[in-house]
Amino acid sequence: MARTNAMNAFRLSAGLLLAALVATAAAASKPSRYADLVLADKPVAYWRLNDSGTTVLNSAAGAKAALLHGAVEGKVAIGQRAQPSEQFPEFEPDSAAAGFSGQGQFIRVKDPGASSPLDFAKGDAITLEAWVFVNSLKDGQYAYVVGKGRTGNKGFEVNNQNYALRLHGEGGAACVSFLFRDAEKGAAPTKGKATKEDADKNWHRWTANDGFLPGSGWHHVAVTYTFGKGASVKGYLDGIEVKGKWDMGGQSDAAPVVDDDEVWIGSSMGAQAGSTFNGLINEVAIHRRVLDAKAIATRFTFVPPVVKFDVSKLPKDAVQVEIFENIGTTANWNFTVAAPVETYTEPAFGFVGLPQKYTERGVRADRSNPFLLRASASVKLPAGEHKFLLRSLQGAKLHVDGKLAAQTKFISPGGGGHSKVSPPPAKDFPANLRFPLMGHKEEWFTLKSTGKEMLFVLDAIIGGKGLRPEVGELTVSVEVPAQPARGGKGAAPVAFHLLAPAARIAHDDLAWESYSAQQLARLATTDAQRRRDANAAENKYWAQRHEAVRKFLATKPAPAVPTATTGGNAIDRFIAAKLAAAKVQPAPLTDDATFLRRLALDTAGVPPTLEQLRAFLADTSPNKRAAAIDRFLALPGWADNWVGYWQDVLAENPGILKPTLNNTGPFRWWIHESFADNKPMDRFATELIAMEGSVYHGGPAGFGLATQNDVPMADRAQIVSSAFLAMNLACARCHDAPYHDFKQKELFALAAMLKRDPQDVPKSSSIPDNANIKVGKRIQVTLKPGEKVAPEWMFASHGAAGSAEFARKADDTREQLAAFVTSPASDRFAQVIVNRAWKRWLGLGLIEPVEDWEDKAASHPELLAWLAREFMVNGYDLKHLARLVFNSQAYQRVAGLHAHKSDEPADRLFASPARRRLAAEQLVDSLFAVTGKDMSSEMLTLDNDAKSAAKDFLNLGYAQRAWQFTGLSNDRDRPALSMPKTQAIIDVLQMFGWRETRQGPLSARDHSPNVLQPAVLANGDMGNGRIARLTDDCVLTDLCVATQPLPTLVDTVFARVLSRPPTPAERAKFVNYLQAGYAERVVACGPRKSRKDFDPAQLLSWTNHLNAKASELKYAVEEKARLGDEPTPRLKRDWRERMEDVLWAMVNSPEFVFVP
Amino acid sequence: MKTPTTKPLLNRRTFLNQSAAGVGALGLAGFPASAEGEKKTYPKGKAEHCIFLWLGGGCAHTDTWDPKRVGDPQKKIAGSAYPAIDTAIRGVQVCEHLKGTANLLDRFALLRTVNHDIIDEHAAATNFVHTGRRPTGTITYPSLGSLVSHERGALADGIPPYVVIGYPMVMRGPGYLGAKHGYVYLTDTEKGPAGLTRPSYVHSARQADREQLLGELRKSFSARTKGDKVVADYDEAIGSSFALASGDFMTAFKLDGEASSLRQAYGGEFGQRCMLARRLVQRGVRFIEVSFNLNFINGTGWDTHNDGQLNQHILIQQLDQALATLVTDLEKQRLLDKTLIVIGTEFGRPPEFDGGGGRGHQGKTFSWVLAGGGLKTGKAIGETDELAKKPVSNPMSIPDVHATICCALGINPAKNLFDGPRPVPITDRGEPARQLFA
Repeated sequence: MARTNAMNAFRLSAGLLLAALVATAAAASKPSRYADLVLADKPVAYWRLNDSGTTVLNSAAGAKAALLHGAVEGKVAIGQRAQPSEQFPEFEPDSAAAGFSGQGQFIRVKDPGASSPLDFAKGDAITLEAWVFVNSLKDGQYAYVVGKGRTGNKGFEVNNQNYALRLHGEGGAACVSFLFRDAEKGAAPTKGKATKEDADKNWHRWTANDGFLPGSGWHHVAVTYTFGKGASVKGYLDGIEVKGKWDMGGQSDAAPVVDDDEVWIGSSMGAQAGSTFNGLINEVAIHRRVLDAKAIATRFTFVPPVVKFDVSKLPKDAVQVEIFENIGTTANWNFTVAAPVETYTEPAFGFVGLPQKYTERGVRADRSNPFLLRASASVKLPAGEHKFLLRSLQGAKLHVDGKLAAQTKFISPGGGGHSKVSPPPAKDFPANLRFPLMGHKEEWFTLKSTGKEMLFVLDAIIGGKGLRPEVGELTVSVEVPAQPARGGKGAAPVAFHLLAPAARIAHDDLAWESYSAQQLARLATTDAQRRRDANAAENKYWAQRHEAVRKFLATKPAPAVPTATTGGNAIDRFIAAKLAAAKVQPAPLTDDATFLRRLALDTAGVPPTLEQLRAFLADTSPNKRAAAIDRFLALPGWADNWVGYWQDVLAENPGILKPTLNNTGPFRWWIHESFADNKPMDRFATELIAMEGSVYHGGPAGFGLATQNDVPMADRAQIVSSAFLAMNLACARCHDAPYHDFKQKELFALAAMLKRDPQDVPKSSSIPDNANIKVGKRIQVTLKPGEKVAPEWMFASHGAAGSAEFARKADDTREQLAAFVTSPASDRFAQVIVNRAWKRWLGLGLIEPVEDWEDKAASHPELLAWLAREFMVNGYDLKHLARLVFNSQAYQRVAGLHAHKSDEPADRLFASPARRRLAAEQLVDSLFAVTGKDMSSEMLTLDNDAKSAAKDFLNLGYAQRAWQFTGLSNDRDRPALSMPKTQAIIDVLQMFGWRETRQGPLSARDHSPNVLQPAVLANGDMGNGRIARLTDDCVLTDLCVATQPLPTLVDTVFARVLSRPPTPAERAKFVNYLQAGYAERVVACGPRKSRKDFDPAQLLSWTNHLNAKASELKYAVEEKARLGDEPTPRLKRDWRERMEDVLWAMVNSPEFVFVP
Repeated sequence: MKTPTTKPLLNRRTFLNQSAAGVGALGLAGFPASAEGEKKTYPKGKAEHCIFLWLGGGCAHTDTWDPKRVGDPQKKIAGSAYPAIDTAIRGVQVCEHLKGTANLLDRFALLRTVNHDIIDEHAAATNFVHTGRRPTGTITYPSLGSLVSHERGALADGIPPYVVIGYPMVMRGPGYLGAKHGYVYLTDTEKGPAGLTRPSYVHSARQADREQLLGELRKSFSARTKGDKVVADYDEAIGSSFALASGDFMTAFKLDGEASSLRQAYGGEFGQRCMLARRLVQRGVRFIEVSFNLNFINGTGWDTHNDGQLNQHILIQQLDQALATLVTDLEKQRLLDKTLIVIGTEFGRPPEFDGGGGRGHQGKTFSWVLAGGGLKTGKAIGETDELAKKPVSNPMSIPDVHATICCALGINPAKNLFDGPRPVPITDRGEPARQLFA
């Protein structure tokens, strides 16, 4: 940390303030500085293009300069407004440029003859430079800026290109390109037909890898080259060297073609439209030497448009944040911004998350990449000198009262894994200041305040070409005098706070963790509002559609509810009828504590909190269960509790490293938001099928990605059909399904609907000739490889009639498919969803298996039909369905009392809910919830320094709930890539049925017990070093420190962990175990450490994982992780360890892993 | 139609509900193919265990098992990096850094023409060589280790049949066979397997206290859920897990019980892993995958791009030391005939050198190696061309290699397993190298 060296001091004079903003622009505008710069380098030709007539003057010095005047050909628009001097201070305000419209116009400069200054032969050095403003450039196009030869003039060979500076369109960007033809063979035109390869051999073309966006304003372009030295080529964009490659004919030391053909500006090849420039050209110069990088750097001076702040409109006491999109394709500061797309406030200059963008349907979308975050606030600091720190992941700039105070560098993308491991922060790193995360850049500076308000404007680029758009931890912090230390010891001499107009937030770990969590929570709330705003029209559409469904259903008879014989709701009347017929007495209702734990697990996915439990038990009202159901259905955990289920069913399968094996995008975020918004389930299915929004950052478009799958849409069709229609089309991928009624064609017709195009059958989706499978009676292949199947809905019985009116875009087969699937004309979709939910809540479906109903009967067909209708009539509202089921006696009975005689529908009576084991995610979430600890695992990425694109490395962030995890992709088996804390959690998840990859859909996990399940809980690092470890951030530690009788503590811990009081025997045993030392357990100690020890993992990323040092560091990190979380110093060790034993026993109890 | 599946019961005698039944019923003459359409007979070997040494990253066959003329990275002359030496198999040479193994090579069979056309990407190729299948999108295939442990179970009661010494990865997983056919893993021989090794800070007295407290809770819950079989099964699994964690099986991980001369003979961490594999074999583990993932030795492990090549010879020497010791140790313990050693990698590397003096990837031909397992060893199967870029004779596909391993372990490679109703042969029509069987 060379922070003292990098310190960037500047002083502000009093009264500068806003005036400074204007001054920056005004001070720089001296007349004609640019021409002086060019002329100083003594060009042989320099066309400033400031002309007013048809003669284009050469401004280069020399007696024969006039020989090189040019002439306008075609409609070149002379006198166009050139670079605005406010942003390009080197230019005169009245500077002009020449306009070309891509239609064959050009400027002709005659060659003065043999050995003219425009001829370049072997050994000659050349620099070509110009300013360009590109209106449009097609991908694949090469537009001429300036070139000699290849004019198509009579008397010259066609391919006589001595040299040319061109722009090449690629990936939407304009890239600098250089071209010449060598004289090796090209000098003697060969008669007859030369092959293309032969023809190309003599062309030598170099093209830059990166460019600028057409329409993004003025850019300076240049190339330098020494003929005869192939490796000497260099390209420049906006004064900075750009990497590139010889992409045609290879690098060559050959001599170029030299003749007396003309130099043309703006076109070539006989003024062919395709080679003509479209936009403005200015200041074209040719030098007979190689200008060095320093000289070319002087050409480009850009002052970003001044931010005109009406300081009075800035919010008081808050930082105004604006987001601007479309600032070019690569990260640089050379852009102008339009209106902000988002404006909001934060309390301080500290950013860890940014608002999401949503489509009109309310699904996650991508912003332009990169985009700009601008944060502004007036802040009053005490008079005197202050030390500041700007910390950012991607390039950022901080202006104070209009003057640049600090600037950080841009990310240099990529890196192969062999980079060095940086040293850890030096010993003099400020005490308590949070350490920078991997890849973050720091700039320190000092600033003198007069004690008045100063305007701080932070501009930060987010993302860039080949990068994920991530904010990282973007902060501006300022050193403040420390609080006087209590007791005179231990306090740091100084402290850093986030720069803020009003808030006081220390930039240490404790305060940052709380600040960033609050920011993310705020963003989640405002994102929900943003979704509502974005999709207001969509909401209206669905409301109307559900009204139409109600009208449609009103014409159909409803299934009759049996008359009441016992208590309970309508559900129970259906159940009672069958129970009575079978003469089975149902199980009694559970006690209140059991009910509440079950309800909490089925809604929030975690046990009730102590407060929720105590309030419920104390409630004496008769309808308290119904009221509790409403309360718990409103908890945010509802969404978390459904994500894991749909990740399985929909095969959500994001890979964090170079996606393979049917990887999808992380559409988990869309699933979560869908359930957080309690989206109608027909809308959920429709959005999935439409596959819109962001592919890599959480939109349903991520479902459309299926890497390394040769028929991704057939795969998606299988998932959609099993998830929503309980049709198993898996076998139909390669042949007509032997055990189902499905033909291969039906799957491919469905796939074609998703593809919006006929789907061809690849070889792999057939049975190979030499397979061990007999194609014959049972298995038939009716499609041939290569056949094309047109989009068609072939499952009329599952929704056809009346569907068309629901397809909003009649010609879009995805919309049609969604309409067919969710059509009210058939209640198949509603029944499938109802049955899936029923199985989750009662442990067994009304139809089994839930994903494949071929030839399966329902145990209670009338109940299923009635529930489906209820569901449809109530707008496909899953919470409505949940309310119905949770209020039934069938749900509220004691579990596990009646074993089903068989799996046959006739024997499924629902006399007692099946005993359900917690899903893996519920188990892990519950363990962290009852101990009141954060998961605090590693950031789920292998690209910690954000040097890669999302298509190669995802970043799933820090997991707060178990569904956020994914496989850790250490397929390369490399120690430096391990994530020990996360792995310890994943070990548990996986053992309990969670899948690290979901290559295919799964509707019901195998819940049979095995030895490794209790083993991993009992012995694993998560169960010991995390869960059963009393730490300072653990709610149970606070409980243990509080003054209370030991039996009360034991009762409280039982209530918290197991939602019940201990039995007398348990109480006696646990009290006895904790008795010794209870009175003296508390240790008086100072406040919590506000900064954690430096974690060496913060030095590691993919870019240096092959460095030996990285493995060593990671081994040490693994070792530390094995020891677990740092225990609290507030409890004496001996007693603490016994309390941890108690906790260990409770979470390892079989009771904990089951829904009660 | 519903496929008959045996309802898994938790049984202390077997681990993870695994049953090894079915194999013994077959005749000694070999397996008749059970799949429809073919009536093939497959050889049946007598190996009981498999130690799978994984050289992740792509081991350069020309620098190890299939040496050719020596090249020069500086001058960009393609060829092997090291001179070749003679071995115990007449006419077969290996690289000079495999001295120890060379002397024992009659116990080995070199498969020099293994090949695939999977894109040269580690994850994809690693998946292919572990599962023997391309991903199809309709099925998640199990790894060889899961297949073997599914078919043969553990040799002893109550122990895991499949252990991985390396990082967890999906390619090593059980696929459609389900989590119970997954593996127990450890990343370091100093630490026991994750999930079975108690943390260092929980000593046995403390564990006893913990189990006492837990006992009270188990008792109470069992009483309140009497007759609930689901709960009872899980409770029984708890008991079994304690028995396993404190039983004989875990002593396998206490390597300091071995003579220090032997430990030294095995060498570094990879050697210790090999020694641990032998100890696991002795306790009845069926399949052990040992990863040689110590990439800090040369920076890149076996993925020797650029300067990874510089110290590749140290990796090879470590492999040689561990392998030679493993073979002699197993032989001494009379286990070599019962234990098939497999050395596998996801692809080889071309004879050409890259700009940094290292090598790229090559799937078109590369080497796998077998040893022991009661096979007719002492031969190199398949020949490659001048610079080991293409097979010249006897090309072997990955399914062929899997079939050979299956046959060696007494598993019919054409047997159908079931993913739901769908029959899936164990190997993708693999043909074993029949010359390895008596």
